Amino acid sequence: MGVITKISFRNIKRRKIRYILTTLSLIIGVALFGGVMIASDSFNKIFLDSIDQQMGTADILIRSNATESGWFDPTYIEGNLTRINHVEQIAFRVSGFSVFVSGVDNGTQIDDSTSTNVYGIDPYSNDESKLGGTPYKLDIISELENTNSIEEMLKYIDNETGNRVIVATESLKIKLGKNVHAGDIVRILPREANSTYDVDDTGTWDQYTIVAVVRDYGEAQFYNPYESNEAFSLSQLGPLLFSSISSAHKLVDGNENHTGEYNLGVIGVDDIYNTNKAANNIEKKLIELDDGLDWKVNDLKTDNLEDVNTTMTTIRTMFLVFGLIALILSIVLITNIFNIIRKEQEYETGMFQAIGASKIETFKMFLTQGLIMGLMGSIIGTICSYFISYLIFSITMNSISTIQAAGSYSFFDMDFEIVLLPTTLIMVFSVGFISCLLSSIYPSYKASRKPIIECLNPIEEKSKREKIKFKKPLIYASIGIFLIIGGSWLLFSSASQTLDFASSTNGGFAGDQAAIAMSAPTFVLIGVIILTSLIIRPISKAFVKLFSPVLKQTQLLTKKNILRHRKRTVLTFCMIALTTSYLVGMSVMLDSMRAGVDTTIDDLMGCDARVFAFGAPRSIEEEILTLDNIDDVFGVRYQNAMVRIDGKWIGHSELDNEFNESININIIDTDKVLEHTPDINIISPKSLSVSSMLGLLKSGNNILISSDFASKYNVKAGELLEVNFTLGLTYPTIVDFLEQDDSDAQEDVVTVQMNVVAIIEKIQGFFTGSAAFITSMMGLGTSYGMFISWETYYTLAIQNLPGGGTDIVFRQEPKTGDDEFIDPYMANWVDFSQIQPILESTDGIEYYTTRMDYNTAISTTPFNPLLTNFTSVVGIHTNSTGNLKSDSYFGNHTIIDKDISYSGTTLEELLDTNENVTVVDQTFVDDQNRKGPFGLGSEVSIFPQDIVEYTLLAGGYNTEFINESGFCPDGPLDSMNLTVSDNINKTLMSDNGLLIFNINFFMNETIGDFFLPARLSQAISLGIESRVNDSIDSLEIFALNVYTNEFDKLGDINNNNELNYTLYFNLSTSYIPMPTGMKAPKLELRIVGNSSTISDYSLDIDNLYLNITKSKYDLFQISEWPKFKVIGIINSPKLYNTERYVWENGIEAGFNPGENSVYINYEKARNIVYPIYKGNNIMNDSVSSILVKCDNPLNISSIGITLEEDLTTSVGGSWSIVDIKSLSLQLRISVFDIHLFIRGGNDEEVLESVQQYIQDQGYIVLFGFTRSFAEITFRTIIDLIMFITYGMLILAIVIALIGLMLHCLLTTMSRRREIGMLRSIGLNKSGVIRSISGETLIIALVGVIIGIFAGILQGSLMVFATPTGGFITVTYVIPWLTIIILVSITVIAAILSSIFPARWAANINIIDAVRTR
Amino acid sequence: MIEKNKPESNLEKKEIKKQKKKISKSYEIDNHLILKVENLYKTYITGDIKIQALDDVNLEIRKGEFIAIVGPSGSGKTTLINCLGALDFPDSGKIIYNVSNNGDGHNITEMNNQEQKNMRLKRIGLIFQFYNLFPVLTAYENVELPTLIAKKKPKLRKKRVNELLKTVGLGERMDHFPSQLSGGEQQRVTIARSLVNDPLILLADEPTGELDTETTLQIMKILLHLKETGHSILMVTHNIRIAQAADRVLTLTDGKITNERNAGKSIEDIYKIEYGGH
Repeated sequence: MGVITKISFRNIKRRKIRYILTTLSLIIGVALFGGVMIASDSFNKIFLDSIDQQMGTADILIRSNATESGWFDPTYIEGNLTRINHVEQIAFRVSGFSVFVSGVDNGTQIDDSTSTNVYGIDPYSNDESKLGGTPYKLDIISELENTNSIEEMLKYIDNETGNRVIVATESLKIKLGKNVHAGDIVRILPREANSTYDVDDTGTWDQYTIVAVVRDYGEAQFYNPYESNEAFSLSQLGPLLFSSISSAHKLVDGNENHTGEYNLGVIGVDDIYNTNKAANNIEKKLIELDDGLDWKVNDLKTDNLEDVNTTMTTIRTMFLVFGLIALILSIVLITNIFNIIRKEQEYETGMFQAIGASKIETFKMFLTQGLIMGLMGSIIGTICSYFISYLIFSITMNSISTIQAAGSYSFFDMDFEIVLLPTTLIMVFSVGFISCLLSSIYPSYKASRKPIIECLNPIEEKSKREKIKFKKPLIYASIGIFLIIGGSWLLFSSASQTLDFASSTNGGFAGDQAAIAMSAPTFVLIGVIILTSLIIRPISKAFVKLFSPVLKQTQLLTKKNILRHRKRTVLTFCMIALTTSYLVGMSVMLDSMRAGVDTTIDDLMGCDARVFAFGAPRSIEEEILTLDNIDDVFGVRYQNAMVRIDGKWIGHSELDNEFNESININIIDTDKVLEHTPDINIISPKSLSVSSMLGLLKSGNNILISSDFASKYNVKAGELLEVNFTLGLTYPTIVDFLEQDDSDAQEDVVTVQMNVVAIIEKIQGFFTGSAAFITSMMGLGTSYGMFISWETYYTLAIQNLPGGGTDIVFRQEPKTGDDEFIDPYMANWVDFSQIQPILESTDGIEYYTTRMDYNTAISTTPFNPLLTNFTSVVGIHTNSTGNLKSDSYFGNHTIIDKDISYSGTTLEELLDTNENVTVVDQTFVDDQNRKGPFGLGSEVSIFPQDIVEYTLLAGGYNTEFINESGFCPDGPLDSMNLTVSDNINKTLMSDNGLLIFNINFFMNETIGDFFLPARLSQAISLGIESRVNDSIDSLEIFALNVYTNEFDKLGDINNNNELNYTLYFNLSTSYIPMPTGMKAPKLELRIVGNSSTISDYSLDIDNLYLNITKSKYDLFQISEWPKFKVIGIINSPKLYNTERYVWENGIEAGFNPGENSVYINYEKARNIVYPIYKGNNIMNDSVSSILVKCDNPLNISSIGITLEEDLTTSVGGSWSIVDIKSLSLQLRISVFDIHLFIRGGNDEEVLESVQQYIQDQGYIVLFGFTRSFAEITFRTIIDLIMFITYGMLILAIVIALIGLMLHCLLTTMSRRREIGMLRSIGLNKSGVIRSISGETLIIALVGVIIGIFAGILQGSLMVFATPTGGFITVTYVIPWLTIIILVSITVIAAILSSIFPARWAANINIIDAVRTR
Repeated sequence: MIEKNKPESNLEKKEIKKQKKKISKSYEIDNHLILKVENLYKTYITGDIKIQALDDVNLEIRKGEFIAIVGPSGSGKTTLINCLGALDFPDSGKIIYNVSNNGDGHNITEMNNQEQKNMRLKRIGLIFQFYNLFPVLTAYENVELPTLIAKKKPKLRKKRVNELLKTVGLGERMDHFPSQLSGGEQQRVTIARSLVNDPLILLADEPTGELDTETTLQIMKILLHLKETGHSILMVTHNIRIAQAADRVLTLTDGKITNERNAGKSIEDIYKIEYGGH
């Protein structure tokens, strides 16, 4: 051991009490700091675990983007990926497909099933079992109760369905209905269903057993590879089923073309923090593979990790402030003590140097003491930090449990685990050690720099001090004032900036803002302390005066002593002031929050319980009102909007993913708000009463705006605001809607001039102004609340429903058979004269229009038949009268370009001409431009649906006879010649009483035409000349119906005289299938004979021919097709246009915006393009679709039902009635936030019953909470903050008191000689005690009083900086009780801490004292 | 403050080093001039008051010489010894140690901090009125401390410390802490410590100021013994009697040496005269 270390150790040993106390303060500081750090690590782990629980432990997704479904064979990529650093598990899944699930056996797809996503995982894969999250089980079959993974659940073999088991999410269960539970069998229609499944009979669908129902969070769901953040968004919540990979293949790939393939790769990495790096390497590797699969790699975790980090930074910052206070106090204390020690050892220091030690050795001697103390304090402190973190963690967890228990709700099973990260422990130790080191550096430096002669013989440098007498205070005063002003400014600006939290962060509470909010009061406090220290002389004088009855004759001495070591005194009272200030400041804030809890709860709730549901109609209010204990109900809807201020739109579109400001329109029931929450503070106009204001709001386009919006954008009451209301999203297809896939969705917006009725601060139960806290937590930016009435909203919503003037579009469903190519996507043509009477007689139908609309061959490059394609050619009425209106009443088009030589500004006006002209849409133009230049003035050749009759004679080359039962004695069948009137008999013979012969006609002669839709190749009649050798029981001819795949009887030929028969085909169905490949389609005839009397008979056929129709035009002779000149271009097809619906599994699935259309005049359509459907007049034409306008949007649904019934009864067939608006209307006027007023009963139970009721109606309940839950939550959170804050601050106070005690002790000891001298001149013992205790008490009280003053100031600043009208309401309260307790404790502590030094001083040996140096 | 002459080139540095080496060995010669003080001035200013602590002080001490400086309080005795011990800086003048025949030597007024520190460590032994021992170190450790700082070899250290402590009569109490020693014993430890690095001169500031007569006698005997063994001693004291034991006694009044006389009485004689042979 070196001499310096030895001296240091001996010094510490010699002055052990002060070193122990100082080290103790360091231990407390380090322990608090470390406790916060370790607790935050533990919370961090909980958050990370919760990410895994919600998203699965999968970190990276890979998908092929080469095809829509993204199938790939994993075998060759797996090997490449496993070699990448950090990659630990790889599993492959099937996702992104939807199927229809039904809970009943005898239902239909439309009425009794719900669309759900399928998520196929391999339950037997080891990697997969490591990648899955932990599902939150809601319902599970008893055999699987102990399982905790989806994989284990899917391994279950059911008695009835075998391995066809699924795990359903809660949303799917809700959709399936309340009677569906784990263990039940459901029916699923595979995605690529074949003929064995009947969409209208769920009984034909496959059976699967639900083995468990899990919460929607709890297992990796389908993630959009481009938007990993959506993993958490509500749009990803929805019906989902988990199945094994084999089941998934059956469900989504019924034809099993992709067996052994997957469409999602899931990768787990060794550490979540390596996800980003691994994702980049995987992406690089997949690019290197260059396999044409266009791989997309998605890092699932990094963004969430950032969110967690941001949140953790906030929590850590908040608590770290208190930990740091303790640490700072320790540093101050150590510095102070070291300064005192330095002073004490000054003589030794001088002597040390006098005998030859250098300054650096002197410096080392002092610093070593700091190092030893730092080492011991930091080690013990780091160990103790575990216990502090345990305390923080357990209290916080208990509080969370209390909250969860209050709400009877839990998302995750949280493990109690203190995480001890080596890095954190090292950091805690290092911070403590370095802090101690830093705090001992200055005194050590000062000690080493002091001239030897001054150490040995102190010389006062009065003259030097005099020079800077005014300079220093001036600098300090400036710093103090700067800190107070700067701190206040920071505090208020950070409070206002909380409104913009999300603008600086992507979700999560911004840590830097929190840091500013927490540190700003500290600046104010330090400023106050600095200023106070400058006037310590008058302050101490005042206190000495105050305590003069106690101090008596020692007044003068005490006064002088307090100011004798000014720095020492200031540092000591600063420590006390600092902690007191925080305690009082936090008390002011927390007590104010506590006092404001009732108001906060009132503001938050506005009622007794709230339920947030999805899709529930407003009528549910009346239904809920009938439930037990419900006193009243009102539903609220929130609607996005934008407001134009000075030409700039404030707010954002519903489809925007990133934004800084949003405007939330609260749609309220004004009567109920007036009845239940009339406490509305009207900012302007002051003269307006609440009832008048709400009355005004009910009528017309009136709006209430929040005061913060009004003040920010300088909007006054009475002004007109241009508001863009988002009425909702329009999805291109029903499937997209069900899956909430808004990638092709369109926002429906209506712009309205709204009158600002009033500017208000808030309405209870609604976020008005500063919803920054919640919205920023959700990453939604600043939100401004505005209010309109349901009445106003109804008008807006109803008047602006999507679909233009069309309320209903209907058509007859096509027939379908085994041949999937027959009429798969087009409606039937129906004689309108059969429909018109129904339309005329249906109440509520205002008018209608018809359309000739079919998928027709067109060409824009007449010389290349290969570039022919099919598109919708729509004939629209342009000049109609009566109830059959022109298309302009229905269409929703905008002309974006036109040939100026034609008059008219609308589609209808442009087409209202006798010329062959057409208007096309932009998509069509874009498509055609890929083939060659196309635009206005170009010509579109349209293949007309016109036919000629044609006789197809049976002959050797196009006919084959197939002997099913019987024989033909005349040799090879294909040598038969059966042309008309050739009088050559062909004999078909039977020798067993049954004759079955098939005769197949190949349509070879007309092959070119059969590439057209089947209806153009219609079999009309069959000509046959035949006789049978004897009279038999029956001899019939059948033809194979391609729709039903059954033979339809054409007629009898049971005659022994040769006769010419003409047998007719049923024209409403089809006997000629579409060709497959280059093979000509065949019409199949069957001749069936039966005889009970003779066993051998023969049928002689003389001639045989078919009368069929075929196209008048040749598909390959485009130049002969009629041509239409493009004179206008309309915008691309919009959603809810009615021209091009797509069909999926036999039902209309919605409009496909990817398709395009060519519009022509109706007259041209019936005369040129669709002449075969032309009737005597337009009322007798066959049309493909009818569009209807109803008198009231609310009646559309019932009119649709009536129409379907009438059409089915009167016309026959199946009808597709598309109600364009009711669904939108229902969604638009659905309530999102249901406010409940409860009368009696347990509010949690009442809430539960209401939620259950809403779910039973088939609507998804997102969440609900009661007033008592909210209150418990708030109070628990405040209590938690209070406990941790007070706990930390009290420990900080302990440090301050240790400082006080040491100050007292060391100061007293250093005055040994003076005390001896005082005693020698006659001061008694009690006088000494009074002097010492009085000095300590005064310093303590100065600290406490300055602390109280600064604390009230900083607490008040925090309270007043809290935004009004926001999430938290604070009621300003000064915690007098806390202050009184604090002062009392300090007085007692000061007295106690001075007892030992005072007694020591009182009992001093006078002679020793006066003699000793 | 005296401006220090800085060597201007490496050549000059080498020359100075060579000279110093030559000088450093010369002190071993009897009658060698150990310390030469020339025209030393020192003024203190306290507020508006100006005190001339040293006023043109000149003196010389040769090897084996024992000089005492006496004078009333405030005459500048301590200031002089502080300046000689490189603890304080004179305003002007020279303090040259180990002076060669041509007048060269170690002028501490021209030295930097490090050089002064080395002078204190190796060339000057300081003895204080209040002993100034490290309370946390034993007698042995206190004596050993300068050798540790000087980084002497452990064996040499041990031998030297033991020898010195025995010399001052503390061979049996070397493991005692200062608080366990009497004033005289503490001062003896101080003397041993001042000698441990074999200095050119001992500078003693009121070495007996805190001691009783008996102890004073003991200390003086030790100092005289040291003189006998060739050590040079400069002692500042207000005790005129014990000053008589020195070879020469200089009287300092208001910072000036106003009187110089030879003394060299034996300490026993001094105390006999004073106390009648007791």
